[in-house]
Amino acid sequence: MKNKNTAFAWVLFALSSVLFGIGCATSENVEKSGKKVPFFGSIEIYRYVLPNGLKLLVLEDSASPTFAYQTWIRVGSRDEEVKYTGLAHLFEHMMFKGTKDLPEGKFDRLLEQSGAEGENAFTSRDYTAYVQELPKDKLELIAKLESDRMVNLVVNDQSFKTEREVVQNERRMRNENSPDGLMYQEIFGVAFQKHSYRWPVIGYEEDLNRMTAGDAEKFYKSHYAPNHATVVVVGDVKAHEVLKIVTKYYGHLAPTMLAEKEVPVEPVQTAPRLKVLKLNTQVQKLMVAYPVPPVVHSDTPALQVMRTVLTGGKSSRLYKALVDSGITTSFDTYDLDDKDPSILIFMGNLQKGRKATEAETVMLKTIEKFKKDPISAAELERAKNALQSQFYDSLTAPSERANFIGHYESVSNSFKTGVDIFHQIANVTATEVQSAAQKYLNANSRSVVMGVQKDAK
Amino acid sequence: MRNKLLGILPLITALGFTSSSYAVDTRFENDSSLPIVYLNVAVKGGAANDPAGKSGISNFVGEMMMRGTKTRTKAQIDEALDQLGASLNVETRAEALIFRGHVLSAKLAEYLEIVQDVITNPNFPEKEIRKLKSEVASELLESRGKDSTLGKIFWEGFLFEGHPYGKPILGKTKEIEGLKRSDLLTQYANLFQDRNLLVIGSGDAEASFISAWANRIGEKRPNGAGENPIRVSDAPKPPEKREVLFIDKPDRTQTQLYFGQVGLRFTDPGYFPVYLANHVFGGGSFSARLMTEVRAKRGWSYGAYSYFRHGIRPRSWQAYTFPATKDTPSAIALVDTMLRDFQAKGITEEEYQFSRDSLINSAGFSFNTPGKRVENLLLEKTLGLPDGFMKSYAENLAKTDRAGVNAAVKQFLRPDKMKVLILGTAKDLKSKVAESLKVSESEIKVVPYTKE
Repeated sequence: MKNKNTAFAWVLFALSSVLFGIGCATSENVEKSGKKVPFFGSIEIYRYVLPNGLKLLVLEDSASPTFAYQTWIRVGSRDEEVKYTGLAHLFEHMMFKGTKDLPEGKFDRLLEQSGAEGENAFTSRDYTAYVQELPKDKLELIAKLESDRMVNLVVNDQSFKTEREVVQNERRMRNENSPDGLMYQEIFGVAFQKHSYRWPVIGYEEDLNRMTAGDAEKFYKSHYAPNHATVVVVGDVKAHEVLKIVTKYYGHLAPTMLAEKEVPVEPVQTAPRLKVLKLNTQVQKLMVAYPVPPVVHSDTPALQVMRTVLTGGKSSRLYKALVDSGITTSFDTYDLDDKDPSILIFMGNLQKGRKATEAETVMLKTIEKFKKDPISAAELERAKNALQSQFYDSLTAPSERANFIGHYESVSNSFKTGVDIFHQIANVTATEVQSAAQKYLNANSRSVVMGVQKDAK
Repeated sequence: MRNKLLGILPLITALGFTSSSYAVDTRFENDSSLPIVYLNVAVKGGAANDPAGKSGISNFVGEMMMRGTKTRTKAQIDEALDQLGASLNVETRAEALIFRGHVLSAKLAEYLEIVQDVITNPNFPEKEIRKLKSEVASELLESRGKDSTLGKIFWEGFLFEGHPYGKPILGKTKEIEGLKRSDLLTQYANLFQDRNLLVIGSGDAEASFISAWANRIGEKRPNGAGENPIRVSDAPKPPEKREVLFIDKPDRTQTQLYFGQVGLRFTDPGYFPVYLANHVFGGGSFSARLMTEVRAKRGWSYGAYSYFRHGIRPRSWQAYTFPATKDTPSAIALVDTMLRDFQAKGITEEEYQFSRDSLINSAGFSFNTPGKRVENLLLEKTLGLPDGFMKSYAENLAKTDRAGVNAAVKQFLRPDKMKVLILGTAKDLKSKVAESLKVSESEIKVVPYTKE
């Protein structure tokens, strides 16, 4: 199960732990090395790295006497092994169990009683995040609780088995009993043959059943450590005070060896792939995926504009070709924001009596035309305005700003990636959009999942 | 603990809303932190105001209003909105129809001009009526694949049988197919009168600018001779005995399970005591009884909650969970027992103190952003609540005591007469459900999931 880079990573870590001796973890030292980085407008983010490797990002915003506190661990389903799919997400559930000093249930009760809001967690392909908002005087409480469960969690067999059953029920809800969930699961399974993005974040039933508390414990010790985490604080706080408190509670935590997973590179797809799913549905469904580069790639801004011209709004090309024409009731794309090369997914629900094959034909024809005919200046402006509007719309609340920062820090090592994409979109040309379509929307590299009625011929 | 909330209040009240002196009730909060404006144009009437045999018409009217005006075709509206990078969508509730949108503040004037056209000049073109009918019919079919959506539709129809609150938002397929353009014009005339209109928003704009625009809308939609559809006149009747409905859907490995009864209005005297008790029982807390017993201790379901749904009249209170099929009979028996125990014994002193502290300390989060304050105002205005009602939770909860809470729970809950709905696979579960609920199988009404 262990990957081949383990030994090399150990050496690197040993060196780094000598250089960053734990005794140096004073907030004054860290503050001096910290820096202010522009976010958008006049807003700046304080960025610090503790000697033990913990990243801390703070955005001061006193609009309300509250703050969002998020802990992002750079581990997701991408980092799992075959036959252990879903472990990252299952472990996310386990993080709400007890620690050495805090019995099970106490974590939730302390936070709830202090007035916490939106206490939750989520796991993606690339990361796991723990989030909450609190009244401004509760910074010390949350830093203490989060730092405690980062290293002191107790994984016992009984609570593991119960939580595994909870996760099986979540899987039944999201995938097994949901036509859309099954489609989404399958499109990754069809588009990826080698890379770990091929399995669902929630995992397969049989893999979850196979897991033990010991596997969870091993996963915890491998991935949960300050040098694999980013703490994001947004709200009515002062950065130097946050740094002081975070240093107090996390500064003494020892970094651990973090094995860099050797994720297989997905081979280039040269022929289309198709899977037809018989579903408990009364209208057909279509998903089509094309390989796209990782979020840090220089083509990402042009790809964002491209997908917006195609599906962003009711005047977009594919909406007009498929929804306005009466073939589908919707037609959208999923965002592109993964750490590794991933897929851009087009998806639609068919109208009554219409077939997914028909929608795919129209979609391919529209895309081929799009690749040949230059887009107009009006279309380009429309897409840019929509993306600008969506960008601001995604940053209205402290928790949303923290999400943005945590996401890009986790998938690209810097929240600036997200800000840069936003700025670069303004300079994308019509030619670049068309080039992106020609480069990435290749019919031979598409993967298709069609959801049809169980009794369909 | 309460002093933290008091710390939040002065800051928020300092941001203020503006109110129009004209007929259209207008509230706008200036917030220049981002170059974006959020706008809601609402009418105080929705699906509960759909005439008999025309379910879904309010939602249909809202959607059609964006599909052609006297000066713009659907394509022109779509293109104009997209050109601005703006959004405009319709949300239909039982007692409100809301046009929601946002736009870059630099494009606000152009956006308002389009929205005004949509609100005051809809044309209801026949071609678009035909297209929308097909889309709605398809959406209704598609929703049958989503168990949680389907369960909710059946639950509301079952709990409010014969009452306007039971009308499905999207309508029923046959009734949608039967709608005529003249029906749409009548419903539009009834809903869109200035006495029913609200304009509520926030963002990077001057409140006076929005207010002047709202007045222009009001001038174009003066109170007409049409029937004022506002207000659901009668409260739903509480069930007289326990009724059990089984929605039969094949191949389910998980069920949707509801227990419930008619609820309370926000302004009923028992509301805040029962609200606090509900937090103990299943009100969204990870420490709540339902979550602890069903999820944390037994792993039977990903979630288990209890909650109110609100209306001008008492609407609903329900307990909801979605256990694995194999655990459904046990989960039914457990929830049933817990409900009876909750009604009979109420909550403990420790539970009371914990919930009181949690709710009071977190109350500020329900109005700590402009977006949340806008949502509160929409609720207050569409349900006829006093101004600032949604900010009064902490104050009202602080006035409760445990004895009053338990007395209110005892009076409010009727476990013996609650309706129960199960969406699952009947052949696997019906007899076991009957056993869990201690009723005969013949008392369980089974309907196929495809029935509207």
